[in-house]
Amino acid sequence: MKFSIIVNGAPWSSPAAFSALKFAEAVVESDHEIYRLFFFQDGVHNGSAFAVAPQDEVDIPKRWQALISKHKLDAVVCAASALKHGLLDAGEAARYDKDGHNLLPGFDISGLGQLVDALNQADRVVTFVN
Amino acid sequence: MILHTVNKIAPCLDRCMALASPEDTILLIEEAAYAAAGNDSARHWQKFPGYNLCVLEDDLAVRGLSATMLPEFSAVSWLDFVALAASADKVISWG
Repeated sequence: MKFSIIVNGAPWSSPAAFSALKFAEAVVESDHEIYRLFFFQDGVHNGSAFAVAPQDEVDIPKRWQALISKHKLDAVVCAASALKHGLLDAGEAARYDKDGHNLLPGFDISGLGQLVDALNQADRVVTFVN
Repeated sequence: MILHTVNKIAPCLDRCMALASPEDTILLIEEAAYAAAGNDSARHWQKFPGYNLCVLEDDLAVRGLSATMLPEFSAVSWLDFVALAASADKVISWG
């Protein structure tokens, strides 16, 4: 069975980001698969390469990146949310004349069409909200 | 069967229970885990006999509630959560 997981919470701001991460880890551990991870609204911060986790706390963006890399997951960061929250890949940084970019490798910036596709193609959709 | 996940008590839990059917499964996660323990919560759930009530065991444990979980509830793991979602017709995430 294919799951899409929508993540609306930023790391450490609410339990949502860590809950989504634990759920995603459980899906890949089970007999099911992940069709897409979609990071929306404040959830785009899960894809930040510039976040520095305290030493005694879980590095949530790094753990997402490890999961995405290991299982070759499709991880999409909402474009409109990303730009508003200062999450840029190299292409967006060049387009908007910004000095740096901070999207972790493994995440892709794309539009809400990818959310609609995730809702249509997955057998189950689970959302983690602030 | 619909799986309802609820991550806060107010206002999410009341909104969920106003629409949930007795054949649905209610899964309390995050801050809503507090509603699966204690005497005030026990009185609340008396209004919903026969519902399948679950709470995420990790969210109970980190709040120190494991020992006082109400008998109406089943504590579930993350893998159980995945299985509940897979066995449901759909999932509604209240938050």
